[in-house]
Amino acid sequence: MAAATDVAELALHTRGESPGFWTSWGRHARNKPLGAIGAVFILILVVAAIFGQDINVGGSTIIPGFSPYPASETDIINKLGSPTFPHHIAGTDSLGRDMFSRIIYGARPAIIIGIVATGLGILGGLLIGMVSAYAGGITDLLLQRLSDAFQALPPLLLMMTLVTVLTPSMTTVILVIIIFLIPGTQRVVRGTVFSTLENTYIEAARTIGAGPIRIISRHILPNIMAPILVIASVTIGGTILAEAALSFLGLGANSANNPTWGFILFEATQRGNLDRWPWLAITPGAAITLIVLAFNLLGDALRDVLDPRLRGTGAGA
Amino acid sequence: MTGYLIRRVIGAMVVLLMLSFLVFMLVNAVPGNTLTRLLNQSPQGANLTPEQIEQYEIDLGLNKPVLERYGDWLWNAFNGDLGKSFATRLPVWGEIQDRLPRSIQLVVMATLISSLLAVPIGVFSAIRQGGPGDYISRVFAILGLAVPNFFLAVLVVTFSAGWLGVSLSTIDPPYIWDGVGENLKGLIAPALVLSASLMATVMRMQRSTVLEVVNEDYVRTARAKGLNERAIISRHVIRNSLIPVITIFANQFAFLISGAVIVEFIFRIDGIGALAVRAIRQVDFTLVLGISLVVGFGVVFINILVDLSYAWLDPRIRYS
Repeated sequence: MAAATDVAELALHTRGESPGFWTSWGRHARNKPLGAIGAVFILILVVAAIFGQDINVGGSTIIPGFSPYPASETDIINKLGSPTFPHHIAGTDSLGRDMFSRIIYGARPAIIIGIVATGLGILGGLLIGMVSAYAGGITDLLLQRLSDAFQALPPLLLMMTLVTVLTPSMTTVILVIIIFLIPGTQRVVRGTVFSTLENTYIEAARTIGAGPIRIISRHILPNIMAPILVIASVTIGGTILAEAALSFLGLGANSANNPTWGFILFEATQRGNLDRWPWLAITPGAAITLIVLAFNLLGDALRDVLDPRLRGTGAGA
Repeated sequence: MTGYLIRRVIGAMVVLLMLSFLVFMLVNAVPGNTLTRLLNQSPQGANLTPEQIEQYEIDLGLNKPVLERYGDWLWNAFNGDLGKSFATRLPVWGEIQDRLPRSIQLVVMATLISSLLAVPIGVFSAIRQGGPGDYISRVFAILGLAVPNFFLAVLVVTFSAGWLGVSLSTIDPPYIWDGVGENLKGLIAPALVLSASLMATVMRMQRSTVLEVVNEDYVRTARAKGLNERAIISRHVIRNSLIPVITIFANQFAFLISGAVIVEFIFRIDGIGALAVRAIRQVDFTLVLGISLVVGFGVVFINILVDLSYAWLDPRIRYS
């Protein structure tokens, strides 16, 4: 069926009519329903991340958030309440804070870190990978051994040490995840650049006097954009997991007014007899699981759509 | 072969040297005086006189410049002495040595569980592509990749205690040679939790490589010469599909140790991972360094081992 669609698309292209933006994405969504579900779920979370809590500019609230309660508002009488409709649909924690609101608040750090850290990490890997491949020689050797050294350390140990050195905050966590993403990404980029440099058209470009900047920007970059996009989309889930793990260990982007999902889960474990109030653990845990699942589903679908060559290579998996 | 091995070992030593330098500089970059940070953590630290603090500094060698200290540390490490823990004043290597067996066992068990389950399931999933078994195993694989191991661990600890009446978190399992039964009872649940994401990754990889190999010419040849399906799958397909899968095991090894850190922390197993969490929290910087070096050694060693195993799996691969 997919083949038939491809042929139809090819036919359209050869007749000089390309399908419109929405038509073509609509078709992809039909072919990859799981990816589409992932995308919709991500969209919901992005909305929660932006509009869930108040948007403040210069100390005054411009748009009030839609979460039922502020994340840190306590309601001691109803503490450890099981989920009830419509007041506390996900229950309350040991201080009587509304779990559903806390989860909505947690969407913001998760989405920001997932997107910003992944984006910058991939960008860093792209730059270093290209420099390493293009420069070659001693620069290449040094950069590669350095990245080996980073990769010889388990990611969580590396990130925990870095966060401790820099003191935990949102910026620190983003920085630390960038440092963790660079070695792996640059390796893939470097490999792809090497194989691209073998092509005759690179030689041709050199012959007519194109400099390194021109060759990189006009000939190499367009070739590695698809794998990079795919790697980015399958990496976001992992980035969010990494932040959640750090938060769980008390080294994440958590702050008093803006709890992160990992930290909410950690708080739950600090409460004894957790089996009597399971929603304390299940709500944040399910939130993390679902968002990672959504990004992975979208990533898999994007991989199949954007770069069939990577299908089944487990890139980023 | 020997030449290749020597080059790999030299490369590994360079990597470990860089790793130790990086971590050393990193821990030394802790803002403020390392010693003040350290003393703030300890109960008696607040009552020390300036002279005592000075004495501490000299004892720990903190009065020397960073590079000189790194040189000293490296020289001692070469001689098998990783220094003393800042917090407990016990030898770092001793602290690590006591906990290494449990952590290694945990990681080995998780690897065994994932390979024994995920490889056959992956193969089955591929040869029955599109069937209900394939569908179910893929759903589990995609879930296994998304569920954070700490969530899984919390669920297992909490609900085994509350609903099944088994306490899993308070058992500090003895070494395996001090009692196999008790040891396994304490480690099987954490090993299962730890193996979940590895299992999912391996399953997906195994499935996709088998699907690729099944279409190779030599498989068609094997069919054409009348070999039965079982022989084709076991002799031709599985063996040829294993190389990418083994690479995944090597790539995932560092992640597996990350997972062990969390799982040991939650199940309260006194292993290297739990020790690392403690060391990092207390800015116990000789201990952090020692753990990094030992764990880094493990990762580098496994990678060399995996590269050597390729030659055994695929006789065409020869190292020179």
